Amino acid sequence: MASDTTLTPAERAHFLRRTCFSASDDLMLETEALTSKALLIDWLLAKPIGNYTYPDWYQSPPNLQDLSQDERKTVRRDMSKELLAWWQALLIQSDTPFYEQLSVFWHNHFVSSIQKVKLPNVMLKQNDLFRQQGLGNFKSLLASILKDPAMLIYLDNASSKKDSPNENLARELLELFTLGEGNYTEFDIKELARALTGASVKRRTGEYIFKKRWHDDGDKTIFGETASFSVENLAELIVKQPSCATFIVTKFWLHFVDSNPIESEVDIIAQTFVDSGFEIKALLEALFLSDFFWQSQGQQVKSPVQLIVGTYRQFNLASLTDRQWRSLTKNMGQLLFVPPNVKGWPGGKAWYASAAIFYRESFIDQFVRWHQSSGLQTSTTQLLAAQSVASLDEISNSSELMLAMADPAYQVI
Amino acid sequence: MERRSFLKASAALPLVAFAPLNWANSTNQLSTNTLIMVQLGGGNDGLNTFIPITEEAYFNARPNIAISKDVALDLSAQLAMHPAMSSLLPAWQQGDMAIVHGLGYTQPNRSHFRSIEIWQTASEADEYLSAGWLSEVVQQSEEPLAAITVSGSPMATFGAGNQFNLAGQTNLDQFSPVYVPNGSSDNELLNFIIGNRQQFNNSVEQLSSLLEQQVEFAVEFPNSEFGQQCFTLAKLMALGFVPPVWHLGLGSFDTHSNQITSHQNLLDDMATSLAALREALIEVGQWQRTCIASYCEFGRRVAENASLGTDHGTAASHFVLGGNVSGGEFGEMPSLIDLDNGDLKYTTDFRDYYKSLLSLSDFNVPASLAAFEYLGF
Repeated sequence: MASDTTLTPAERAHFLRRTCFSASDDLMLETEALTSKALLIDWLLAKPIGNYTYPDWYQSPPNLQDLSQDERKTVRRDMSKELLAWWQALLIQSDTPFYEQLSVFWHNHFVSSIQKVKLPNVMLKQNDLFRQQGLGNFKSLLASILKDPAMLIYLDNASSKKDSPNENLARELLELFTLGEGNYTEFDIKELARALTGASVKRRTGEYIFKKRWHDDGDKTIFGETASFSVENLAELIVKQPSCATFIVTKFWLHFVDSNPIESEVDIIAQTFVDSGFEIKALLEALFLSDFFWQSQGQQVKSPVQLIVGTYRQFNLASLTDRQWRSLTKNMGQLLFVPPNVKGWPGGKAWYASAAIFYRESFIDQFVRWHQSSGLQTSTTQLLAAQSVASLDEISNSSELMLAMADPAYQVI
Repeated sequence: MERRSFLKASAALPLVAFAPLNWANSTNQLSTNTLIMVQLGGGNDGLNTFIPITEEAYFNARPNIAISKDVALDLSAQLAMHPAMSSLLPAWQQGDMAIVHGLGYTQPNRSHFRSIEIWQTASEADEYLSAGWLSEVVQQSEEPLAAITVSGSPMATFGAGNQFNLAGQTNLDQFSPVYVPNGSSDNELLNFIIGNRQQFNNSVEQLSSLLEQQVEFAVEFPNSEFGQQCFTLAKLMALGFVPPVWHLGLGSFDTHSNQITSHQNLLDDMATSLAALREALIEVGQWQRTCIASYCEFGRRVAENASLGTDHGTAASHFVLGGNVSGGEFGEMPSLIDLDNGDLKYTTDFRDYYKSLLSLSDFNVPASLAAFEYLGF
């Protein structure tokens, strides 16, 4: 673990870029008096979530019953555009960007896609679960996910019945959400699928419902334990499997640190996580205190969301149009709510590949040229996570800013 | 602002440094063959694609989702094809289509991600390899661009730098070169970025000048994404751009629920697009050198589930299309009664399939595949 030494501005900037998308002037000023890593981490983790509102249709979803199929499609298409715009606005404008960062993390962990779920209000409910519970207790979050309508639809549990259970959720739950491949048997999956039967969704309202008649209430043997398991007690059973804590810590490491988790360090953080009773704050505190976090500056390719949101936040500019946001993220390969598959976006170096390169670079070019008249100002310390190839020391005019942002150093974080 | 004008505007960027070109030297010799791998992402239901139509066990296991004898397309006395694939019947009838049964491996893994890794690296179930099974073919090629991923999860593991991933984009003619700084960095990740920018520019120089050209085929390609990707491939080949390896992908074939309609739509899209690709390549005289082969991580469970779908399974049949393919059936359809925990027991190692594809294309067979068999298609 790191000793508590005085933080440099470069270290603070690194922490802010990784957690809050950017080291903007505001955030640098707000954290100026925090002289140690522990204080800075506490500042981040103690902040309550800021106020925000929902689209009108979230609280009172429109009644689609009397509409034709085409009309229904149109209403849903409009809602799903508003959904994406709503999250975009929060990502770029929220006063508590760390909660948005965490929502992106969880969206890429407990993956669901609107292409299959189709109901924007149900996707919003899942997204808000990540915001509201994403910094809470992992066991509770997992229990909520197992009753989350979007997840139940996305992985086909909503239609699973005791006579021939659907294995999709059971398998991905263990493989991708909690334990990792190789840490369970095919028998565990079949039994888990039985336990999950009955966890379903009300077709009319999109709310969770437990369908008792579809549930297999017999005994199941999962991980060698036999009981009449159901959706109510699975989170408890799963998190106590030895690989769960290390699996979750590794996922956080890949998001917040770099692509090379160090096993011995992961084990230490996982132990802290277990000892805390699976508090996500305890995990993050240990992760952010790790020397590996502080040494990882400039060792990650920015995700498209990180690149775009970070750029707008760095200069405190209003958001893009909904249309631009959609086409930019789509072309760069990270259209939110539409992950490529249940494993989410692969991330890492894969972000900077082939066709996406063009869209990333033309975004930067376009951004600087759109906004240079508004007098964009920043420093290399705040803007860049690595020494630029062009060896820029400072940014004193718009052509130097263009040079800094076109540099490969701007593509990493 | 419209995306189109956004891109146009950015093309005027003064900072852009144009990469050197060596496209003129890279004319393909007609002797080179080309292998087009088609990934049925998510795991195609092999049994509803190539149907053991005389087996009672098939109908018993799938009371709600079996393809009925009335609509299935008979290929032989025991085998029928999903009716959505009727556009591939001419290829079958003319001997341009091989169907290989029971493809899989021992200790089958039912995870999408681990199993596709096994398939893409041609490894054992408990062996972790980093290079893709085609990486040697790609690296040995002297083409500046030896592998193009048009779509699908790229065989990133192709390895070398002489490849490009269009990631489903067929509008490459709108692209322009990106800025590549002089010099290098102490940070390896930045050097990776510089290298990828250079590679992007080289690829764009090669491809966009071709894609700007108009090519018209007698056959019409479907307007679907996959159809347009096949069109792009056909267009490039018509213009003489023929790398040893292509990758296409569509899906999701991960049909856990209500699979009747979704599977039908996917197979229809796939078959009409590939049939159009075949006709277009015949028209421009490139079909003889072409081999198209399907693959995916696994087939699906023999019995349907209660959601009118199928869960992850093991072995499956796949198809090969090509001008010098020996048509017909290869390998043995697995038993539908003698099952492993509800799943088919594979009869043909997927690496036999790979070795046969390499041989068909006259590519070198790597040492790692030496011990496998030729299937003879």
